[in-house]
Amino acid sequence: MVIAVYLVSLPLAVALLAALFAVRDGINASWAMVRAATYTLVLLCMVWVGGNEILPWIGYAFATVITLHLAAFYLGRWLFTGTE
Amino acid sequence: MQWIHPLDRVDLTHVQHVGGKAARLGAMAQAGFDVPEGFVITADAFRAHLPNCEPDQRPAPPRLQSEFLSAIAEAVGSAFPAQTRFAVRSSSVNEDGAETSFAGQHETYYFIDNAHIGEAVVDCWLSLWSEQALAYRRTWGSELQPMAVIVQRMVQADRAGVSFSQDPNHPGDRRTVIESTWGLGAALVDGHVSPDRTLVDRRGRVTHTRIGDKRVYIPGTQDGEAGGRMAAVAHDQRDVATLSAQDAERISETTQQIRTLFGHPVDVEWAFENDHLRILQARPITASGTHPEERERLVLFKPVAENFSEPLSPLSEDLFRRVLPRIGRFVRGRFYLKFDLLRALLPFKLDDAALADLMLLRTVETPQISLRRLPRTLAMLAALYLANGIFWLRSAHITEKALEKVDAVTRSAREDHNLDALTTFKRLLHGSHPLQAMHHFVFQINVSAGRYFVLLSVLKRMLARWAPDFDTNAIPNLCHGGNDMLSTRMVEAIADLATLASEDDACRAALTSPSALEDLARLDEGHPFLVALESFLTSFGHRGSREIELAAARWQEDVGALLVMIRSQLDAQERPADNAYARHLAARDQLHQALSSRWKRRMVDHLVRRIRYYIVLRENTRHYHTKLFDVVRNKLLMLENDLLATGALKISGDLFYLTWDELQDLSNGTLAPVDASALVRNRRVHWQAAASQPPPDRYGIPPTVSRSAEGALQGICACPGTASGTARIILHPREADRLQPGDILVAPYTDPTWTPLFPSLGGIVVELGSYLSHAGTIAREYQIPCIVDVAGCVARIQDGDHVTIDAVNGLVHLPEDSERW
Repeated sequence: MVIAVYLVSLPLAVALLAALFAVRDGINASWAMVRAATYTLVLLCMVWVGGNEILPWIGYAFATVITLHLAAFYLGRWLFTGTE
Repeated sequence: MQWIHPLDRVDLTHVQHVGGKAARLGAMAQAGFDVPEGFVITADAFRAHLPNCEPDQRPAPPRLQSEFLSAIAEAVGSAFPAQTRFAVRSSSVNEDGAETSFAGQHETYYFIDNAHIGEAVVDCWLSLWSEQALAYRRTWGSELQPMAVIVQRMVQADRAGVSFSQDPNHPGDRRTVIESTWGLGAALVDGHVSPDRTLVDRRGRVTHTRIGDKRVYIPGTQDGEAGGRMAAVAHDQRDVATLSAQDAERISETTQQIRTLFGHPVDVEWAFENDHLRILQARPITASGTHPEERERLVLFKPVAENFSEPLSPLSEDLFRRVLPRIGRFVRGRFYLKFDLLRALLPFKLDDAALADLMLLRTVETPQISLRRLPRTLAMLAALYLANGIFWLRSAHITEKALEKVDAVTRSAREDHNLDALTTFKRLLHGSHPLQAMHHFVFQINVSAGRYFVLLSVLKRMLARWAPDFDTNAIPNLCHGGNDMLSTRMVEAIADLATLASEDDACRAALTSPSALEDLARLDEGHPFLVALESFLTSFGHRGSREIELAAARWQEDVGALLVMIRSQLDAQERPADNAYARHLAARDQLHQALSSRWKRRMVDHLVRRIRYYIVLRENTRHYHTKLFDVVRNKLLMLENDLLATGALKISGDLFYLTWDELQDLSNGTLAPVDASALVRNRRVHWQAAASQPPPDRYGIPPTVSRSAEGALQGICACPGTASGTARIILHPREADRLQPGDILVAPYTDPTWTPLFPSLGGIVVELGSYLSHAGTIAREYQIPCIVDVAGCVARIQDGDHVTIDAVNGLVHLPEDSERW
């Protein structure tokens, strides 16, 4: 089950982090906060149903997304700005 | 040993002694063509003075033997008056061959007096070891060959140019192509001017003339120290044709006679001296060689190429190379995608030619998915989503107000004088760190907004399934961006300026006079037109033709180009009130009637809103990311000013023909100005050669089987509809004056600065482009039938032809009596 939690948490992590970034972007803060709250609620529901033992797997999903996001930025920069 | 021969005594049998150029000149002189009198110093003289020289090591200047100097003095004294000035020209043994021309690689010296011919000859010899000649030989694998030198009477040219016995872009096309400019032809050959271009058909009649913007010229007469130096063309002569129809027909006839003489296609350099047509050079039209980098399988990247047909300048290419992804590479100033890399990632069952078409955004049959490739593609998409999903979701809800914050970013970069152009370019295009707000990533947003093309495909499939009766030609009405698009507002602002100008006689007269800028400056300071113009430039002055090109002037620098746009709108008939919104509502009602259930309507409405959002986002982010380019251009111009002030650069504009590293070397003194000049000259020639040909859309991949329908040109429908009218070949927005309401615009490319020309057009045909291209997007806004990606349309349609375009099927019907292909 933990693998399923991890897989489901991946897109949730993307969406939640995007909503948090959107608050930072100042594009439409209230809309972004509502979305962030919604995704947080979904995650809390998952923990309520699955128990505390799934918490690390949700954390791994967030770690995966953040790592890949940073890698995409820095690796992408290196790929983009490298000269042939 | 005889070192000197009169030019009219040599012919093609003497190539090994006198070089290709002199041998051809001699053959032409003997055949009765008007070749300026002169003599040739044979390659034997070179061998005698520079024996055992190394191919890659420049030798010391040789001391000329006395008998050689005596022979020159005798040749000059016996045939020319004492005050005669000479052109001293290289004629290497492997020069002007069928495979390699060595055009511009070796030196030519103008206005040489008889006392300095010997020095000029030595300089010609040593130009075999110039940086560009060495690089050329290395590129093409040529060996060092001895050089003969031609000494000819200097032609006092008032007009000069180059003619081709067949169109070099279309080898099957036997029209004569003539490029001409004021003064000596060197300004044209070295790429300093945009020349006049005239086409003469096989029957010897002029079929097309395009007037170039000739800002500089090299005077053909020596006036004090000015001979051979670049000078500004008088303002009222820039846009004047250099050749009459009779002149062009005469050049064409002579060019074809020279072709017959040599038995192969030729390009000919010529000059008019007091209405005498002098022939200065003829050589075979060189075969297009294959550069080593072209061995890779590549597909043209349309979103960049469709914005302008000319290649990027070397500096722009170098800077873009440092900021664009490695999924592609530049070939002669154009960006290509690496085919094999994308082939591995895409899961379609398509052969190479069809997949290349898909990458070129051409309409192809719905591709079948390969189950074998699918897992790899899905894994890649999942990884991409996890890595870039945050960015994609953030860019899905950006407001115009948020985009306006880009102004603060560009302003701060502009004012930070510690940032050089390259650092600024990288920072503005890629941001500094991942926690920055979205307006720091406007370029990436622009790229990611292209996803509307995928959504559009989904919408089309959805409608085909759920609403088969819905007219898909109404989809552009459904998804139009309207006034939310900044480019639409820009067009309206230009129309407003034209209205303001037409309401005031003095302003109208000033705008339509040949010296519009000066005359407008005489208007009252607070004149409403000037105030509105100032306001326009504040909002849109960073835009201009070929705005991705860092070397291209923006409207704020070249207001004249903007005035042409405004002038073209002065007499435009008033457009009917914008009924785009009404068309949108009608299309939506039609769609709702065609959809049977409420949830289907909701889903389709949502999809339409998203497509519309991304269309607007793509156009508007372009408006902002061109501001980034403007900042980089400003920094480059500041650097250029410094280099001009120190004498490291001689001519404004040369900077864009050097790479960034070479500019650094030039600034810190490790690259000598004379070497930089040689590099610039060499690259200008290559740039002109690349610019004269449309970019191949693929390398190393089989071409698609002919897409031409019988008697028609085939392209891609960008906006459906049909139209008939007079075709107007417009190569630059500066020619907007020639367009009449209802005309069919035929252009090699369009970018947003062409937009003001659109409203009064009957139809649009563009050589490059795709459904996503600017021409298509704006044509859909104005509901103008538009066909893009029509290969060869500029060459095959003649200005003034009556053409019919059937945009629904992507067909351009030519006149029935067309015999041009």
